[in-house]
Amino acid sequence: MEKMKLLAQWTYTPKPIHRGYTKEVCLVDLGNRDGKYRFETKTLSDEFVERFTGGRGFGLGLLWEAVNENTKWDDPENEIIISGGPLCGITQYPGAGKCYSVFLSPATKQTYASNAGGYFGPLIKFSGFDSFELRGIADRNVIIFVDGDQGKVEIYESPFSPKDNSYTITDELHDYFSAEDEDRENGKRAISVVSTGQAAAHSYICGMNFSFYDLRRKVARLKQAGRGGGGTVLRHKGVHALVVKKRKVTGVENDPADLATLQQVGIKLHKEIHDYDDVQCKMRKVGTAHLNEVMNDYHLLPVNNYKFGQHPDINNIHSDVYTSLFTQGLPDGCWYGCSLSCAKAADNFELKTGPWKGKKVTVDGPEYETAASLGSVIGIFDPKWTIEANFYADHYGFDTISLGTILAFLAECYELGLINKDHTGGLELTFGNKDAMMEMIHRMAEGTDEFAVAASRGIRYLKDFLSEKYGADRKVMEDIGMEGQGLEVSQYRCQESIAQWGGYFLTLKGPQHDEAWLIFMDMVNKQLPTFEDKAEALYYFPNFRLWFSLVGLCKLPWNDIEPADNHIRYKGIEAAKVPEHVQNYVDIFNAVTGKNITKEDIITQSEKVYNFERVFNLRMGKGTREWHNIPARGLGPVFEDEYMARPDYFDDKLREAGIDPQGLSVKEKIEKLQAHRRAQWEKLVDAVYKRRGWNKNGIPTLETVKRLGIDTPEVVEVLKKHLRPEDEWDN
Amino acid sequence: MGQLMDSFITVNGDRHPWREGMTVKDLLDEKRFTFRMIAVWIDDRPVERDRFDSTPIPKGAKVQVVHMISGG
Repeated sequence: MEKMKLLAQWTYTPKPIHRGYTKEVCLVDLGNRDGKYRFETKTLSDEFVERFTGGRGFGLGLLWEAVNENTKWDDPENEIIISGGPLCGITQYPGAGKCYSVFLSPATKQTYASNAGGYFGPLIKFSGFDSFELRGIADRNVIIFVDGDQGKVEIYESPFSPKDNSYTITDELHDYFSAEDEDRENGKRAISVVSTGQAAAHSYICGMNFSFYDLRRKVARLKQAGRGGGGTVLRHKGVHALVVKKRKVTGVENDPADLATLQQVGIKLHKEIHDYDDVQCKMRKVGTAHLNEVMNDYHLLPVNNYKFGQHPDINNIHSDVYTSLFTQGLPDGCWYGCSLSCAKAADNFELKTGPWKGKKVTVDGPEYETAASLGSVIGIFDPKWTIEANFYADHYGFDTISLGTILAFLAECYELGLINKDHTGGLELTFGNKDAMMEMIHRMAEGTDEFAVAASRGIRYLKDFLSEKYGADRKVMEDIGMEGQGLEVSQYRCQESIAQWGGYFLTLKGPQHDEAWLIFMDMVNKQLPTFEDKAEALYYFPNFRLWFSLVGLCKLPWNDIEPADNHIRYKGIEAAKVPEHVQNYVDIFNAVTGKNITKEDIITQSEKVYNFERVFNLRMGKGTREWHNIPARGLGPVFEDEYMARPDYFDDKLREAGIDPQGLSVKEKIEKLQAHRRAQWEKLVDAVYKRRGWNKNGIPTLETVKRLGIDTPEVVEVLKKHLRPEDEWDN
Repeated sequence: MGQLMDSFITVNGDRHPWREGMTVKDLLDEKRFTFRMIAVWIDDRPVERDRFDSTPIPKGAKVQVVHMISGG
């Protein structure tokens, strides 16, 4: 690669980390397409740190200050803020390399927070910044380079074309910025690149790829902040890549207050992983793809646009098959010290299609989500096809979850006759048609025609496009389009778990499973018999899980490995909380920060941010009950073939609802089941809002924000505009 | 009537047929509970995972099969 043209440079003095924080933010403002670049260091107040804790909280707090109620995702005022959190970068405890990207989403038109592994989060923090804040829109395509060793931030003119994609950009930048290192390989390892691909120029579902350099494979690997359209925002800003370089990484970069405790707690979890992973989730061998056949067994695997939960070809995508495709025996952690090593990869994989046809590549994943999204949900049970689709999705910038759910929606529209070959550019987009699906992915990335562009913008966009352009039946599309708040549903079939309706559709940002996964607890274990029980779970788990996003941790070491006696020492829902690991989190937070929090404080820290984000979305014109909606397919069968896949089961469900199925046609049964479940949904919404301290319209009450200490004048002003007496609860 | 009732156990609150010699593993197989991260309690007493295939379920027992949470 030729020498890049330097457009702007700024020097700073990296502030050392004290007890997990630098309390400094690097702001890079690209101007408003005028080439006026600006750099600034912001210092965070103690009050700000206390209110938002870190990570996603810092991102939301900073974004609140940057935008107003009229800001759109493509305005220069919209930002991408990447923050690690106080535990981000520790090497003693597994899963501590996560960072969170916060932005206004092109898909949902409200705040989004998306997490990624890789080295960017820790390295930007070790370069002196708790948050990296990117504002404005450049006058040309640029590369932004943070040199944490030299204390420099530089903006270069991008040498890449708009058609260049993530693996190209990432590889070349690891190479370019390590050119002067004597030890080239370790130089590459000191670098992390954030990029996206060509699809982000027009798609709304593009994520950001965060790299880390794999010394053993000698390739740059990509971990995705996939969801919500962060990559789309990045490209819209004219940024082809963010790059950070920081050579010095030690186990004490975070300046922990109590290193001995940090080490001790870490060793305990490493030992658990070593001793029990092989008999528990096998994360070290196959990552989250261990769930493939499990989800099928419990009717939870999404098949053909979530119509069915099982498929006879499940053995084709069994975790044993994926285990054989992944290279074994390598320490696949996406940050130093993660012995859970779930970042699996298929090496020397020869691509059969697309611009890199014939090339051998290393493909990250697929994880469970992608095995389902670019697999079962579109009726494909061919792991090698899925691996190829996974590669191109990452390369082009697509979020694999949204991509698969969109393709599934289109396939069902096609099979229902809502669209045909005239609309699809000649593609026969049926379930299981591998060639057509792969071609569609390439076309969506290219933006070949208006159909491909519309598809790349998500189901909500497609519903408008297909009904207005082709006269497709809007009601049917509303029923079968698996999206909420503009975000496509991730890869679990939630129909038979009322609690998971909430886990998906009563969320801050849309149906992503990172708030709550309650299907087993509700549907199988039957531990949540009442709406109040479900509401309690939909209070605790979203708040508990949000905490990972505040501090810079991965969720997986919480409950994809557990102490050997967890299942006999704790009973019921307590066991699902994995209390010993919760205590680990308390201990390592205190060990790093020197604070003295309790497990209850974890919930309070999260609840502050959870409610702040809810108010933020209210400020952006969302955040009320009307945006919490669930499609009919999310509640149960829509068409007769779905009901008839499990007729006895659904007949029993009708009887449980006090409806005698005798003498009813299948169509009538479906109507009655849907009506019953819709009524249950409304009850769930009420119960959850009450438990969360929100009013009937889903808005946090003044009492709630006051209790949490987030009742700043700005927050109260937003609430007062929307709180109405008629939305107060009767008791 | 009593004998009829004793031919069942309850599993997570639902009635399930019982037979002489039925073990925890038998029950999990019949229910197709294949997930590895499972906790089983019989009449409020926990069963170690490595003893599922050797632990008999008494007739009329109240069995709780608790699936933990894992995944993305």
